[in-house]
Amino acid sequence: MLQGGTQYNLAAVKAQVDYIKERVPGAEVYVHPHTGEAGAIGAAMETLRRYKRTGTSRYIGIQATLDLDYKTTTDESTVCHFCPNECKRTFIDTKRPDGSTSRYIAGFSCEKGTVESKEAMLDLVAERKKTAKQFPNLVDYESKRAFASFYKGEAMPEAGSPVEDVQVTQGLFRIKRRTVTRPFQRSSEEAARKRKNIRIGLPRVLNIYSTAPFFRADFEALGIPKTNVIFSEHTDEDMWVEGGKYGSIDPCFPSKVAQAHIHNLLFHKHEPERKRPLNYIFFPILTHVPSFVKDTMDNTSCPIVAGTPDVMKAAFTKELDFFAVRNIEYMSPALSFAEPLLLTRRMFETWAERLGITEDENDHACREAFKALEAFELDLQDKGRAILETVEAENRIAILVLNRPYHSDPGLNHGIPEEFQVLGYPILSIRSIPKDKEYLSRYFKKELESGLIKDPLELNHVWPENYSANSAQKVWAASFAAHHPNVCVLDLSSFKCGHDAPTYGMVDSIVQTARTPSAALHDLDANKPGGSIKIRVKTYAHSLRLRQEALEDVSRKRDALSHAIDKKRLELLEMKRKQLLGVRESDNEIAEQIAEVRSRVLAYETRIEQPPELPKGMVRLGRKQEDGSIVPTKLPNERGATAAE
Amino acid sequence: MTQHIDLGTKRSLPVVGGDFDMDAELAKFEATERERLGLKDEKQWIEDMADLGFTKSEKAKITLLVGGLTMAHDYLVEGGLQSLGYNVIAMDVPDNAALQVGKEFGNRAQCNPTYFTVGNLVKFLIELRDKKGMDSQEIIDKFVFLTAGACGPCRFGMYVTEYRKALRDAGFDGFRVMLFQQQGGLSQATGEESGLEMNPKFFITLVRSLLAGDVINGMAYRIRPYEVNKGETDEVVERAKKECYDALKAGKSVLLALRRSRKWFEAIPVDRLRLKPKVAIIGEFWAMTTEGDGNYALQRFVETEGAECDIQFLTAWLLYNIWEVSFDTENRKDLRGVDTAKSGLSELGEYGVFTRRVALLVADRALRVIFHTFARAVGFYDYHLPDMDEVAEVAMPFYNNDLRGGEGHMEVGKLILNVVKNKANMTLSVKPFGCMPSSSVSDGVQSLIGERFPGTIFCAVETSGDGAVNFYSRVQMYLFKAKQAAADEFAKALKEAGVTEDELRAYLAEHPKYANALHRSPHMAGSTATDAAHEIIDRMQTTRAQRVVRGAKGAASWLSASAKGWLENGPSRAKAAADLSLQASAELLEIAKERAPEAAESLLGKVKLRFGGAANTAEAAPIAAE
Repeated sequence: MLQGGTQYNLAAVKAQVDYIKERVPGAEVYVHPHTGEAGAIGAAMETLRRYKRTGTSRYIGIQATLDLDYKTTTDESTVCHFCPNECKRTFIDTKRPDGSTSRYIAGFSCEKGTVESKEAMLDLVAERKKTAKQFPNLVDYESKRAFASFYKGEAMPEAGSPVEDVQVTQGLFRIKRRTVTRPFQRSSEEAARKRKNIRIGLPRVLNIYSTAPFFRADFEALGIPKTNVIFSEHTDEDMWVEGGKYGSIDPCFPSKVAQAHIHNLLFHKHEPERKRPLNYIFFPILTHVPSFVKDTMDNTSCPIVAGTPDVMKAAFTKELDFFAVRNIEYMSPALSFAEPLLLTRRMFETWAERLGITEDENDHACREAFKALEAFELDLQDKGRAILETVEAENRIAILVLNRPYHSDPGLNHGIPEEFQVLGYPILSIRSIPKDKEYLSRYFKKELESGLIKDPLELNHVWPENYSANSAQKVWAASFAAHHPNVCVLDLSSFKCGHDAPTYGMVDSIVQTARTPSAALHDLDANKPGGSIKIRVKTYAHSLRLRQEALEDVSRKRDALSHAIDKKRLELLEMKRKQLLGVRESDNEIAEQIAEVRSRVLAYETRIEQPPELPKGMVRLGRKQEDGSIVPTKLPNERGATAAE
Repeated sequence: MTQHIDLGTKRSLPVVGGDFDMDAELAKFEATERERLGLKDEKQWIEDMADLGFTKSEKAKITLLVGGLTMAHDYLVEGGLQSLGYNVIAMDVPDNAALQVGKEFGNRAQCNPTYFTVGNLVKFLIELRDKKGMDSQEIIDKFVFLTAGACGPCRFGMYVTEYRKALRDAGFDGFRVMLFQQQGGLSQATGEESGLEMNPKFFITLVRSLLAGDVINGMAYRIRPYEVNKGETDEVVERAKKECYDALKAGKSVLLALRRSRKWFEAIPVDRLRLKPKVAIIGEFWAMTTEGDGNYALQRFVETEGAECDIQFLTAWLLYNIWEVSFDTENRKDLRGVDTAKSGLSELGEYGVFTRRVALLVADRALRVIFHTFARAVGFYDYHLPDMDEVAEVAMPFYNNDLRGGEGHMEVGKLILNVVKNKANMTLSVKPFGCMPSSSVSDGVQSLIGERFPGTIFCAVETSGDGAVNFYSRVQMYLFKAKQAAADEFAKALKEAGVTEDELRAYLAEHPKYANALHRSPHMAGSTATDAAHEIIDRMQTTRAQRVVRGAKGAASWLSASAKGWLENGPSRAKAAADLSLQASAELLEIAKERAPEAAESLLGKVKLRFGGAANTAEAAPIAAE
């Protein structure tokens, strides 16, 4: 179907028809009979549908519309001064026949432009913050939590306490491993004292987002004070402008921005004059990262992401060795989170002499670090489950952000999840989806029962080439959203992302097949795409409203189904009771069942006589109990909840 | 007994108190109600095009499509696989039309090898459908695409995902894409044997075809820039390819076919004193391998611009694959346990590392031996396949050897070796736009190599599928520098020797064996002309007797150094050898004791009886080994 004013140009129509016929043999092509007005007709139909559904409208009527008086102004007085963008807005002042007036503002690129005075702008921002507080954003929470010191692990064992170890004997033909128990070895007190003064800087970029709890916990377990494990700041425009000048290549923004973070560490976090120097900058090459997907071919990092530490080393030592002149050592060992034993050894090789630690101390620290990583994941999943159970109980929607872990960085996602949060949708991150089998099995019931999968966390049946850990997790999360009626998708990806590109079609197929609403922004880069995001948010918000309505409809239909089944059950039970009476028999159990079902039927019929209560502003999160009731849960931003930082 | 009743018509239960299944009746009712209310479960996406194959009974009617390497490789693989009873068609080298088809049916933002290779297959199938009038289902039933796969970490590992998407969107849903790695065995659905037999014969045939392609390509790039009669090399290359193709197809010796080709190559008149800079082409595997629009026919362009190409061989890529496994195994062998990940050694038992080492060593040596045998047969003399450990070692301070994807550390390692060993005048790294390991990692590191190794002429160039002009002009810019460098070293050689080019030419005219197309001058400089100059100058300025004396001196000095080394290190080497043999015997005895304690004891007893006290050596061995 060809529509839009362009179709009045018959040459354009011919070109399109020729192309379509060539590419899709046998295709039938139609031109809309009111091609210039097709969009308006659609909008009118949608308005009508909504009016019929809600019984309300802000439309002033055809006559009032025809008699509407209006004036447009675009000049110096309409320029928005609330940010350096200086948007040239247009004010449309309207006057209705009844004398009432309204001003509509157009041509702004952010919400600040929708108001005229500073007070109104501040009110607007405060209102947005208030709404945002009500609706949890786990992407934002994850981005803060990952770098916080939250894990209190087991203390380092005392010297001499028994420790289990494996002795390896290498022969020419075979390698033997033997388990032994021996005394735990501690480093000297002097070494421990030295560690208290060592400061280690890590860039807050790339896969450090998914592994930071490990490194922080490891260093803390080794006796580095928590204030001495320093991360660069979250990405922002100023940081990029100041530090984005070292590179000689042009990869995706998440990799490119690493230079600004190293710069931030070198020029802002390294403060020898305040006796707060950085001794090391630690930017490990993470060849493999943790993944929850069970049946992957491998769990590799993107090669750019993995290789960026070496690119940074080259960039900051090329003309001048920025590290050496500051007496900082740059460390970028290759680590694999798919191989805990190898990782533990590499950590020891890297830090043994530098931190003066024993292998036993390193083993202990790595063990604690893995536990910290798990605690981080479980905390997120717990909060994710609270959101999911609440929206499910209330027929509401949560938005799952499909992204790579480092898109949690507000400077990379440009605050797009917040745009939806302030519209009243709780935001889930991939990590926050509960991963326990019992929970997931209800959504993947069919596949499990058919034997297609053995575990809900499998992915091979959807995508066999799943060796990239973050891509596999992203595709699995899309599949989860497709299985969960209350989850909609916001798919974020960076411009030039080589690992996301091959999954675009697949994620699309997954959400399209299950008819899960989804919005994709695939070209995120250094600049915040203000205008285009506005349009996308508005368009997607409409889809979300439709989904919400569909959920309400489905819920009503489910209730109706349940009622119809009850009625049928009642009918069958009563027939049976009558027959029993006919042969002068009675069954107390049947009588009890009849009473129970009848009370349900009556309750339903009484309930539907009252108008349904529409959901109001706030979603109050809770955990579903066995009896189906919801008990309110504390949220990340509530006082008393576990603080992120 | 369960009795079924029709609730729609019957108003009474047939058997009072009977055991009728109320739940079943309600389930039936629920299904009807769900239908009426429109309460259906959403469908879910499942990949049903993965792991498709064909059975042995289908083999005769199936045609395998291959492609994606150089023209020579694809052509010879076609011949090789035909000898195994397959119908095979090697598709043409991907062109810009293939790129357009790839872009039309592929995902957005892919790298262009994806678009070219995926597009090439889809284009071929579309032509079968639209030009040859075949029905889509007939195409799906009769053709299978055979390709190499990978398991990451760059996009190459996801090509199959892309093939499936493009094939589906182009109307070939269900078309079979098979990987070399895919297991044969039995078909799960039918229990019938797979039609693609991935047995040793299959792989040996493949290796023969690929290595023959390598050495023929090597000859072409070595001779063509210096041919006197334009086009002659190409004609001979075509003849040689046909000769090898026929031999492979008939299951005959490809080695003999290469030997027959040698004399054709030898007959090509060449002028090696033509001053041409040697350009080592490295980069992303496909971009540097293909010979068509995929890299704007880069190799031909470089030759047209007056340079010689030093290309990379598939053999080197296979050696790199072997090195990867070897490196990973050595790094993990002495861990205090085994990790279960892909590179972990969980599948190897106590002896696994040893057997893997042996297997890898054999594979590495076998490849090298086959390559050099083929190379000698065709006249591709004095070519040194890269020492993968050396490449890794020189790259390591700049590019971690654990980083994988694309060429990994090889680009950096090759550039360093090219500069340090003066193997070429210029290194040209070609990669597709946005190539993850190459554009975004290697090139970032190469900027440091340029600083650390002065005199480096390194040109990194991206192919995007459009805008050939920019691509060519960038290459030309660096070629200018390379030409200058080649001219300087040539002039320097002549000046130092005090000879002119005319004198060199005159010498060549008198001594045609140095002008032979197969002749290879010893490596002294970056360009072939300077190598030739050095050799001729040496011949001109020394007598035969002097060279014999020099040769003898060289041999004597080598022998003396070796002997000195042996004398100096002899005792320690002998001790090391003795220790090694003691360790080996001790270990073998220990293993034997564990495996078959009685047999070992009995054997030891017999040895003692036979040799008396000498048998104590065996018992003492474990102590000595410690």
